[in-house]
Amino acid sequence: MSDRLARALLDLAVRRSPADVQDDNRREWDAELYALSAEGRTTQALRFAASLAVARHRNGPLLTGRGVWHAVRLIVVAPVTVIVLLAASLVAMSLAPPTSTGSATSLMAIFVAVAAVLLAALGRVWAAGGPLLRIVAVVVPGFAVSALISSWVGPPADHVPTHAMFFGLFAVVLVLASRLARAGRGVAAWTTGILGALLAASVATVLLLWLSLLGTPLPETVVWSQAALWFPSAYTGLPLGLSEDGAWWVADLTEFDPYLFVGFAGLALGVVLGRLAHPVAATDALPSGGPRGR
Amino acid sequence: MRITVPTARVLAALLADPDADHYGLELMQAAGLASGTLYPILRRLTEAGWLTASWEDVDPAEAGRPARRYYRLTAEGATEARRALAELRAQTTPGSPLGRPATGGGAW
Repeated sequence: MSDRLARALLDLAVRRSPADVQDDNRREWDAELYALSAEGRTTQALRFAASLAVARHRNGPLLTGRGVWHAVRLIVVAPVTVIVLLAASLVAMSLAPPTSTGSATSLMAIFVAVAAVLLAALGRVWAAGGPLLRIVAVVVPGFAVSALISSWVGPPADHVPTHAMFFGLFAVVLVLASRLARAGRGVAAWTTGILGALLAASVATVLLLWLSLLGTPLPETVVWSQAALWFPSAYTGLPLGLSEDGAWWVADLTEFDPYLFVGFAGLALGVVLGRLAHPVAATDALPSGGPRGR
Repeated sequence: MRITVPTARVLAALLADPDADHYGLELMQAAGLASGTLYPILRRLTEAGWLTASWEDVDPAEAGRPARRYYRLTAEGATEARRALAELRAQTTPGSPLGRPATGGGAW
């Protein structure tokens, strides 16, 4: 993990250095990082890469206006866009002809799914940084914003751990999917990402219900053996095998959270898997079987 | 050339063995500088003609590691570096006619 982080920082440092010396810098710094890693000096390797990443290069200010905008766009504007699109889905649902609660929720599910696809496309365009930085850039702000919004809608003691669980599990999924994508296995990467997001959302939904019902008698219609159906039922508004009363309980307790999971998952998958940078360009200069491969 | 404290440290490290090739990690340790401080200085000194840079003549596959980049003082660089450090020494010697307090972000 630390090796990957050092590589990501070094990649950032190279891109921040003047264009005419980037190739030489990459080769030179890669050789030194290789030596540190080979000697097991993990901390020094990280310090070496981190110091270069924040260095003030001649002809290259610490942060260019363009670089700042790309970072702000990914870290601030993108999560806000998720919320705006989810709110727009809510408004679109409310403008639809009045029907039953269940069908309105199903309509919302369709709008949010479309929003997630749009967010994935947007994430692909707005992606910046190396693979690990991209994951951090979507997971940390995503957790902060979604936990804030869901805590505004419901009790923070229930919702903050829920979103921590979702984004924690989803981060692991993103790491795996990113590895697959860089290995050229695009379909497997997207499949892993989507299924992993749904699994993380299911686990987080179970945690949310458990926290919400902690210390209170469990409604008879909420059955733990059907926990795997809670997230799909809450998201789609369909019972999907749950009793009508059980589905109502689940939807009532999960509130806006399933839509936040899907919206942020769409953005994150677009950022992390869309238009991935060249795998690790510096590997060409290295012999095989070195510390890079560990 | 503007000689800052970190630049002076790099020059001193290079002058410790002026005819030898030096690489980045070695100079970081000798000068006590972080990588983000050292490499921009090396680039500035190279552009000024005080240093030459070359790649280590090694086969990466055989050596089991990538080739390093070496830096060596040029004749002009060695002369200028000695002169710059001597001036610094004179300026920072108490009672020296050139002596005056260092100002401006560590630049001498």
